[in-house]
Amino acid sequence: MLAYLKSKVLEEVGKVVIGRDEETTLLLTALIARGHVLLEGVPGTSKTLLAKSFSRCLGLRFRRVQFTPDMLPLDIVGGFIFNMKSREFEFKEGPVFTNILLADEINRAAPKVQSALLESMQELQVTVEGQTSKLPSPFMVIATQNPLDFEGVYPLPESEMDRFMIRIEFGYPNQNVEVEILKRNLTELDLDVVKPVISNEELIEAFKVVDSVKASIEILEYVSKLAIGTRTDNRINLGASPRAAVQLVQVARANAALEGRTYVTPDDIKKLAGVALAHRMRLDRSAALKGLATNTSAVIQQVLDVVKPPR
Amino acid sequence: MLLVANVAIYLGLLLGIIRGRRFRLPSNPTVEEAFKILEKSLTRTFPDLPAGYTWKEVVNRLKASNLDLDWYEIEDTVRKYEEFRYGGIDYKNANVDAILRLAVSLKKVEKDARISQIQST
Repeated sequence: MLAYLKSKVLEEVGKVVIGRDEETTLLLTALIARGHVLLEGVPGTSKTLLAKSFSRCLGLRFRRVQFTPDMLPLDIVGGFIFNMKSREFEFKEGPVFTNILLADEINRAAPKVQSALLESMQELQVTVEGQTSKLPSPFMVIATQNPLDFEGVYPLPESEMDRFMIRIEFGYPNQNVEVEILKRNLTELDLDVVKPVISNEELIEAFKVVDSVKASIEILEYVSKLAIGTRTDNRINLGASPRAAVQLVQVARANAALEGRTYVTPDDIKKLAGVALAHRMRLDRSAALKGLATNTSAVIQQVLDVVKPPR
Repeated sequence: MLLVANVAIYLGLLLGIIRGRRFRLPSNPTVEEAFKILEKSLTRTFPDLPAGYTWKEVVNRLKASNLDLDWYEIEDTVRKYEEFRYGGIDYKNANVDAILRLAVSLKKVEKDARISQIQST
């Protein structure tokens, strides 16, 4: 059932986004794992286009928020507004009250605005002036951000980074794909060609399938060893948190479900460890300066090479 | 001179017997035993192999080598073993021989590697 779902999503998204099947599959994997996704890449690499077309094919409520430096938290979560007629303060829901929230260029906003999403991402609720409101279900944040060495960006706080189940890095397309993109853009791109292909019921069914996927105790021990491996590595300042380990298992279960399996294998873990852990970790500055490690993904790869999976 | 030659021949024979016993295959191995044998064989053939390998990775890499084996059979056995190992599903008709044949074939890879090493030096 999930394989069919995947092929439908790839087909629909592929109508407007070229050469991003892997990224689309990762988005779907995170969605059915009930996680949030961070898309990172230089401008013009189809991050927003992919997020928009992916959301369209889900047939769920979708809101897009363009993050800017002058934003306030209430622009995201909403706030109390005085109603002149009833002479009372009423809660006006912000754009976060949706199924899919596209937080475009999230690192252009100040950290306090970025942090406004913390509660909604973790607890699926919003608290404003002591009043807690539940968010619609399912709820997924797809955020895009530019690399940190770009002008006018604020790095996301560690606690915020830790709430993204996976980070998908967008590189430049190869030449063949780029030519295809150029050809397609000779005529105006119309997102209306992307039709909703997944109903809410199908999505709920997909959640159930993922929940039924077995992760054996040996797989859990393996994931724990990997997380500890990132924490004890001298080149790392901040290793993978227990939440990171939990989310790695969850996204691995979703991957197994998409591949038609009812159990998680070490290959699922190895395939997703990079996208699920790298963005939460911080390199030690002196190690980076000494050239001992270039990025956290490379460290994770070395940890994966050393830690013996259950065989 | 003759004595030295005798010692060398008998020592060689003795080492051969010991080695043969060490890598003797059990008569009716289970799937788990077969994979343990494969693991030992892999470690011996590729001492630099990182500890973090998985069966699928190994099979994919070995497929690229010139080993004349039924890879469909091997992949099918790996899949069934994984179902049992991680999914708790009973394996039926798992082809233990396919894994043992792979383990034994690795000796050939080891031998070929040694020959090419000697030729390159």
